Amino acid sequence: MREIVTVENLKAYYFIRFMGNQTTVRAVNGVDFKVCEGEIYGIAGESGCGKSTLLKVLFGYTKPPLRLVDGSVIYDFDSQKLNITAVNHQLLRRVRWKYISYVPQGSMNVLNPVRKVRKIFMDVLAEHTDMSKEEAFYEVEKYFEALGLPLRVLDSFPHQLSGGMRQRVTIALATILKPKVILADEPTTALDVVVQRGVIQLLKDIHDEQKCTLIIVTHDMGVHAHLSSRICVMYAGKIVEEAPSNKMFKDPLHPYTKLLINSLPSLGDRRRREGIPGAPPSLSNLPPGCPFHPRCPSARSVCMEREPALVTVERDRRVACWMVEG
Amino acid sequence: MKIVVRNLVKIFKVGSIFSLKKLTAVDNVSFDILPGEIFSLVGESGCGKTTTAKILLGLEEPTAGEIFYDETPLEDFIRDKKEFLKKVQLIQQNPFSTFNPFRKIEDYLFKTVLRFGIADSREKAEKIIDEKLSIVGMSFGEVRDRYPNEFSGGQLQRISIARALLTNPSFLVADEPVSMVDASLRISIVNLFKDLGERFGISVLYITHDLSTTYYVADRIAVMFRGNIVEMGNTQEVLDNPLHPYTVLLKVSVPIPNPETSWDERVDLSTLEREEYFTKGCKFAGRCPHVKEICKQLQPPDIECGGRTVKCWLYK
Repeated sequence: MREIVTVENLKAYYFIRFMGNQTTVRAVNGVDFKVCEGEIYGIAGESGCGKSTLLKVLFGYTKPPLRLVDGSVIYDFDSQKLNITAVNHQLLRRVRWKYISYVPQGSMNVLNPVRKVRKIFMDVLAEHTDMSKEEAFYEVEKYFEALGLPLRVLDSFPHQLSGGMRQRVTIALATILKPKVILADEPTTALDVVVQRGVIQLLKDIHDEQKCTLIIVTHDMGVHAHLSSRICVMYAGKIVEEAPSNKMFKDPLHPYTKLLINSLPSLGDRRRREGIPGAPPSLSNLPPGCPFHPRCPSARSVCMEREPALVTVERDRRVACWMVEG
Repeated sequence: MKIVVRNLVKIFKVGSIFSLKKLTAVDNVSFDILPGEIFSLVGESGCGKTTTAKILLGLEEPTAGEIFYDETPLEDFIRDKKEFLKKVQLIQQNPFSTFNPFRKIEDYLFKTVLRFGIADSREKAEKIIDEKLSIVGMSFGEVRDRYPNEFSGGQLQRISIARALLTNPSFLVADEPVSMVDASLRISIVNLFKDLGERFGISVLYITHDLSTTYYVADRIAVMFRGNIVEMGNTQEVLDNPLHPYTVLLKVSVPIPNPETSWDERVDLSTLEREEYFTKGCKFAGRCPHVKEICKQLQPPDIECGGRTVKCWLYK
């Protein structure tokens, strides 16, 4: 399998200066992973763990106060290497949407409220392809039919559609140019279960049909279980565990992953469960040693002093914890 | 507190002058909430569950129907606004927008205590606040002189629960209380609701679209669809063995955190949600796998079926 995305030692911080005080928020703090072509790679973690920032950097979207500090993100499109963190603006414009696409968080609210859905799609096609207006008109219809979305939607304004429909329209908009890599930030959050299932189905259909690579960020482990083939769990700007999803759910190694999976209530089980004690650390003021040690039930003295590295424990499994190393 | 809702109807007018339509957001809804019970209203967005809650809180005028709080009609009970708010409290969905970012957290807590005359001095108020915060696993020391941005969503939601408890309410309305809270902190908030019913005898109306927390916490459940309660009964019975086709669809759509389970069938979402409000017969008929001719013509009645009510022709 060819590796299409290679992230090496990526560090991106927010530098905030307020009333003479300089704060550094270490949102992405030394992340490295590889994603193979055609994979659905899931990124999990609580809010404030840096997963959305990571996705922004992957899309080459580093605008102040966010700044890239170290590392690189290399895409490999048809054996043409591209370091997205070091390309100029013109090239970035050419690569985006055609090769890399991004479904931002809360994307049901990104559509232009005074433009009909069809026009929004035709704008995109006019900007990125040399299709004529007529061709674009039919292309949009063809694409909607292929995705099983009702054609009536095309002639409505965004506010006439429900949240779930807008979300599916945005996903269609992000994928109409058949990008190689799709980055989706919380694509199913704030949706109802039935609609959520529809969106998962849509993403899977697009993935199967276009043979693209998906990188999905969500905090919902249930969605990961149904969508992702490989998952990494982030905590305080770092990856703490990475494994294929069936292994991750069957036998989580990191104490944080264990707690994260066990804290989920499930249908048919009314036994009392406990959440993870404490709250996630502030990214501008990280605790020494392993960032999870204040909340970890099995913390030892070494956890408070030194930070564990992300080590490979099996062929496709990496964990950053002193308890697992050996 | 026992809350009785009978034949509640709320009709909204939508569209402009030329295309005016009447949308029945809450259509003939009846249910009881028993003292100390957690009653859950479940359904997708736009099914009328929040409208029902707003009517219960007196924020929205019902078109028809009656509501009784311990045998007192809502209109009489709400006349003394202060007494009403003392007994009935709301917990909102988004903890970040509940609090004004420029105001200290303790301001909210002190204001509530002093306004409702629960304590007459700041010292006494502090003691009461500390006591209520300890119920939600926090202390006054943690919130003293701090602003909302210094807390996580889970902590803010705990504080808003503590604030609601300050007046010793007997009925809490929780509108999607955990949907904005992280998965890892969610369960600790849900546990709080479980305790409230058991320890303090507070009735809770738990509004959500998340079936797994409902199963975990609620005593009874009412599933709403396009303004109707389609199925109502004991939570375990309803969710272990759902009868209405919509409840079945809801149940199988919950993503179970186990990669070995997968959805075999595809879900059909091609209908536009709003049109379903204006259908003549059963509102689920357009998507129902068991649809019959009668479903498209006539709205099904509430049918008693083994201790629960189901609104479906299948069980006639």
